[in-house]
Parts: sequence; structure tokens; C-alpha cells
Amino acid sequence: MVEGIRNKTLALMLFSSPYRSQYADHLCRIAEKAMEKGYNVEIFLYGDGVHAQMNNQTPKTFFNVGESLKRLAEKGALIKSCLICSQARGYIEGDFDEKLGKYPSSKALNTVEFCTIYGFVDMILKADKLLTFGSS
Amino acid sequence: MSALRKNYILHNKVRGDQKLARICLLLMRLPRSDEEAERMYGMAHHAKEQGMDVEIYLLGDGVFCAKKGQKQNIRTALEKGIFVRASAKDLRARAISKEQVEPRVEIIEDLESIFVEDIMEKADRVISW
Repeated sequence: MVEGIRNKTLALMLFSSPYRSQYADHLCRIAEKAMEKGYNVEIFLYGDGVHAQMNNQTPKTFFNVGESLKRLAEKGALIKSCLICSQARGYIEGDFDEKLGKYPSSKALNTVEFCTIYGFVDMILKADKLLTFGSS
Repeated sequence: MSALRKNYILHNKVRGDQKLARICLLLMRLPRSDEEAERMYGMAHHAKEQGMDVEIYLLGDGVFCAKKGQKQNIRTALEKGIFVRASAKDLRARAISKEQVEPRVEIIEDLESIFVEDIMEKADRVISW
């Protein structure tokens, strides 16, 4: 890790689902490089981009987006997902669980935090640079 | 994002009266599938005319822009002093040899690494397509 740059944050927003295009791959690879260099990374999944959060992705020949997101979260990346987009696509299985402090979802990666689009606003206010991936 | 919106971003001042000095453009899509690559070229030329340093990064399908002999190719951008960098891994994945690439395009093995450093430490703005 490079000293002195840890306080800089790169925000990445994904609009496209994985395996339809390479946008999710590019996002993950850029995020991995940024973390290797010591930057904070925050990712927001929006629209069809929320499919990147699905558990147990097992592509045979493609880059595994789910595993990459899991690795990024383990290293400290913050991954947020649009609540409304996730509800629309069947990822949310009930109301907010006060005890667990999160929305129930067996289909999504545990490390993903569901929030409204205001969560994205908070993200870009803190970020030094923002990159978008996929059609906006 | 519309071209108008991106042009607004380009003209938006960073802080106080300080104008943008350096802009990075990242292209990840095919040059002929829609108008986005043309928009990127338009923005790159415009930014260069405004006196900015412009860097174009070609990743994924964006590397097709680096090929020689296209009607509206990257050569015009290179002649204007715009730097163009393409991912070696993505060129190989698409069977594009070094000989097929415009001579002044810089081919970089670990493009993502260079790109991250550039946008986080040097660039005032970064826009992706």
C-alpha cells in the first residue's frame, strides 16, 4: 500500500448487468488496482447493475464478477446497491430487519449494503473521482 | 449522459477561477456501434482546443478505436497532441496486433493501473463511456 494517499476515494457506479458486456469486469479490475494502490473504493450498483451482487456466480470462461466483488469487500471496499432496483429484481425478501440492521436477501452477497439513491449522493459527495460503467 | 451535459462538465470550473488543466477520457465500447465514441472524440478535440491536456484510455472493446485505416480514426486526435493509450491485454484478446495499431498509440500491459494513478493524482476530470 502506498502511504499518504489512503484518504482519497474512488467511486464507481455500475449500470449494466455482468456477462452481457464487460463493464462489470472493467469496474472490478479498476477497483482492484485502486485498492492495491491504497485508495478507498466505493461501488454503487444501479439498475441492471444490481445483478452483479448475486450469490454463487459460476461463469465457466468469463471473469467472475461476484467473486471479485466479494474480494473487494473483504479488502475494505464499500459496496452499495440500489434498494428499489434490487426489490424490482427480486433480491429483497422482506422488510428491513431491525435486529440484523439490514434488508433480508439470500440471493445477494452479504457484504452488499442496500440503500436508496440518496446513498449514491452521499458517496459522490465524499469521492475524489467518480466513474460510471454502462449505459446511463 | 448527454453530450450537452458532458460539455457542461468540461466547462465547469474546478475551483474559483481556475480552469480545468487535465482531463482523462475512458472508452470501453465499440467505435461504430453508437455515437458515443464520436462524442468522446468531439469532447477530446474541444478540450484540447481549450488548452487542456487530454488523455484517452481505450479499454475492452474501446481498443478497436486504435486500429489503423478507419474513416474517422484516432490519428486526428494524435496529431492534435492528444495522448492515446490502449490496453495490451484487450488488444490481444481481440487479435489486434501491434502492427494494426496507429503508431503513436501507447500500448500498455497494465492499463488499469496507469489509469487509476492518472485519474486520482493528475486529472481534474474523468469521463467514461
